[in-house]
Amino acid sequence: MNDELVVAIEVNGETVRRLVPASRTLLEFLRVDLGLTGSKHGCDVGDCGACTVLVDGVARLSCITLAVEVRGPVRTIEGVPADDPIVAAFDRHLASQCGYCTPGFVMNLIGVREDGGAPDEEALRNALGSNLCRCTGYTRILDAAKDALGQG
Amino acid sequence: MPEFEVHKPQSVAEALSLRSSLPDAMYIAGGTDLLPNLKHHLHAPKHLVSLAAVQGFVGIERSDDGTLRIGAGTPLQMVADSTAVRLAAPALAMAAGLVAGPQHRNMGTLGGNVMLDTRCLFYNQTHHWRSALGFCLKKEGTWCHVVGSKATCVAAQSSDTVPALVVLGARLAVDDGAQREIPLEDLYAQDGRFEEAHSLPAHALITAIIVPPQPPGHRSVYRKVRTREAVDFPQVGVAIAAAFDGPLVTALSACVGAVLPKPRVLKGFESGLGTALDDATIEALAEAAFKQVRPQRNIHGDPAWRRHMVRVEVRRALQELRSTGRAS
Repeated sequence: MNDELVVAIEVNGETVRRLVPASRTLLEFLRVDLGLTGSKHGCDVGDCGACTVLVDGVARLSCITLAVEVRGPVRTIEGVPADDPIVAAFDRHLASQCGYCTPGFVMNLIGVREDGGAPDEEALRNALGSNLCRCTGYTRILDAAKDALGQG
Repeated sequence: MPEFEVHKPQSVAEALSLRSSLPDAMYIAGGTDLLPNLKHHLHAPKHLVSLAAVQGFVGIERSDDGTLRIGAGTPLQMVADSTAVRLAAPALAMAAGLVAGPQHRNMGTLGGNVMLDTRCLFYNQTHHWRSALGFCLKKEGTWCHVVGSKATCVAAQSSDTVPALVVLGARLAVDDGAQREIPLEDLYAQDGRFEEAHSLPAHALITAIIVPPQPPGHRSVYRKVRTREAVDFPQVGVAIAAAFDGPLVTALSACVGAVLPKPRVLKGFESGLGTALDDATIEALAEAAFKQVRPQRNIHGDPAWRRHMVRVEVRRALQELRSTGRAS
């Protein structure tokens, strides 16, 4: 049975190649096969946004993406420098409490930034609509987003 | 997640041949509906035929007569952002932009939204949860817990884009070895066991969604009721298309989604023709809508409240059409 497939993709600028079960999600591939545990496993069904990564610059939910279907370069929180303006704004606004949702929020916002334009508050609220924060620290997260994306 | 093999055809012909020849196979497009359902063991395919690499599956074309041809693999966000769609078919752009959350819209496709599995409180649950009740008529059981019946499954067709596509008179380009077109409305059945009940052969592939040119003075809207302003499936969805000659209505049709297995085309809306959608007309149409729609306890939200919201959203949709009806 041809149930293992080679996944050869670019992750944070480095080409990786692994033989994995066909049912491997991108999130499991990152966390288990590559040891990149920054992307978080929250709800497991695409409801919480904690697993958000960029594929080809576009935010996707890695827990409901099959690794063998990924065709573009993947960027995770490990590929984001500590002095990235979005990360810096999260620090400045104390936008992380327990921190579990933070990588997903940051990656989603990087996707918004790569999309270009100057999103107003409503656009940012919409963009962050599918990321949950169980500490409910949304006000500070939104403040950080507005600050980093030029609406602060 | 159950174990399966994944196949990655490059063409429609190859996809059809894989899907027909492999036992227990399913198609996967964006995966935003299918993968959570697989994790809940709602399907147990041995093979997934991925549509991600199929050539010519993504894109929006507008022909000279104003027909829109939207590839089935086109991401919902691309549909929502398309100037051609926003101008020619505002309700579709609105509906696509209201599906789930932003990441889902980057991943999920219009074809996938049309083929969305029906949803129910007794179905979209883990295997453990469902087994505790002895399962349900839609999956592994013999009894519908919603209406107390052995005969009919009432899981809700929960797509946002479907009611919009219905009022726009959309057709589906289908390939099952032969290419043909069917009215989108004909896909859906009265029974909620969608996988078996829909009108296409199991291996058939929807290759494109075709939105015909709308009459001059076209306006359309889609309004969605959900608990949160993001991620949630609709608890009621209302799409209305109209045409105006000056202030007067020359065409009017309405469809309600997320109630029963089949999108509900509302009757009696021709009584709005020739009016300027004055308040009394709007009230009468909203009341007519309320009388025709009977939500069940199949998805979240009290059925009486959802029924009331049909009246409210039809009223709001008609008021919106009277003033603009353009995708913002």
